[in-house]
Amino acid sequence: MSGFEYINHHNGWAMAIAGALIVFTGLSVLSFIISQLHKIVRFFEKKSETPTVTVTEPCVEASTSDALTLDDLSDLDQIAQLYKPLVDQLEQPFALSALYQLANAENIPHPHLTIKYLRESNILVAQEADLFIWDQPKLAGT
Amino acid sequence: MELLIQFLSNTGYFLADYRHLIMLAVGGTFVYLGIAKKYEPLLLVPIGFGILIGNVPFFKGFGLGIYEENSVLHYLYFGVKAGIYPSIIFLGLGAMTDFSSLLARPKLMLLGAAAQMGIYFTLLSALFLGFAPKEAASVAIIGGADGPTSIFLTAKLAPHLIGPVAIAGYSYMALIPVIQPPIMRLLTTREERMIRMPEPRQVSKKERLIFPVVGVLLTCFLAPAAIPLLGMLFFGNLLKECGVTERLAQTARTAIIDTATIVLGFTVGASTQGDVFLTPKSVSIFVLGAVAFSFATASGIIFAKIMNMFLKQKINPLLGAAGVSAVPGSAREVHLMGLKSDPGNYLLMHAMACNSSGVIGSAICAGILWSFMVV
Repeated sequence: MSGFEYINHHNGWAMAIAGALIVFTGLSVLSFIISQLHKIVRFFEKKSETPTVTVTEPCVEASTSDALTLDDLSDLDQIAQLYKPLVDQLEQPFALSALYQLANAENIPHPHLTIKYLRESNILVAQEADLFIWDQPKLAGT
Repeated sequence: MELLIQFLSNTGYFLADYRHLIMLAVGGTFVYLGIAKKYEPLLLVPIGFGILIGNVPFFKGFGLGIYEENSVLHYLYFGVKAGIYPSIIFLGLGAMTDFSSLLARPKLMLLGAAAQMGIYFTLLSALFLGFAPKEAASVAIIGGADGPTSIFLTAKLAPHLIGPVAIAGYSYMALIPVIQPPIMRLLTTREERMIRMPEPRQVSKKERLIFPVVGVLLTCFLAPAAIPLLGMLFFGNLLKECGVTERLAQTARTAIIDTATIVLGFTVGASTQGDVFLTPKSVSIFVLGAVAFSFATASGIIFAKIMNMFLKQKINPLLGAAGVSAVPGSAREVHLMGLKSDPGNYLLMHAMACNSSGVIGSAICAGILWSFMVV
């Protein structure tokens, strides 16, 4: 037996429709819950906030208001300018994850893409064991 | 002289037939594609070499072949048949995956669900062609474009099809750069491909920490049969995100996943002995696999376009193609296609969100199909 008759015989239509609906429903619910996650986290953080935490808030505002901008993601000069201030903050050689975290903390836009571009331009030079160093002359020349 | 003739009659040169030669050519092609073309080399090289090993003709009864009890290959293959390696690979995958982009734009998760429609379409197609229901489910899961998930489900439902299903699944994953771009171009306009996605918001550490716990509870309560896959995926992710088990996470995403990938790829390749692999059913599985993969890609893109009808902030429909769970191949292809249309359009992070939800989606589908077949 084969064809539509075989599909009907084995309840194929029901399996396909039910399966599709279940996976859609499941991922929709998960999607909804994770879309609310940051609100729930913020709610609990506010609840447990102490007066000393409130005092530190202006500092947070100051750092986020300094968000740097990048007009063109393929402009190497502009990217290098953003990263120059970070050179002294990381002891060489360093892991890319450390540079990524620092770039994030300094509000450098698109850190993953800009670091990738620096690697491709050999301004970040690979060393042993997944560590990197700056090519200082190249960086200074941009 | 008689001894010499007896020896020669036991050599591979004497025992080889056309099926071994075909499979040796397939194995050689896999190794070539992996090394020369760099198509998923981490998968194709072990599988290709495994095919070469598995198709060296030998005298049956020596305990050499993968299907002969007490052979070394047979013991290594146990991890495939029992679904152990896929679970271990999911652990490493979880320890590697950063779900931040998904947490920043949860609605992209729906694209991961939409791309799973390829699985159900293929289920119907396989039944139409006369496959038994358990076989049809095993073939259908190729549409999820997730090698370990395909092997896991096939090991549970139709172990005799592990070879063809795994080879088809991994072949199509490796051929993503060939299969997906024409479908993307066909189903989208240049203007749609140029849609830029807004920069995702910063995701806090707490959110990333809570997600694996919420994720595992929600998905595994829905499809308990997916626990071996999703449980390990989210466990690996918790190791990565909790910040106190960095050593374990590091081992899971390097040594453990690499070991499992080597043994899985090699033994799956070795399981394709020409005399058991080259059957009309295997050819049908390859055809259905291509249908499954193409349909999954198309359904993701079409669903993204449907979503755009209702969204104020349009999403780039190319992202739908990354809803299949071939990580990170399909995300990379979407990114490259976006760059071709607009050199400033960076879709990689958004595509990774769809990709990771595709992994979750296909594992849920495997759990659902397994449950259906048990009932």
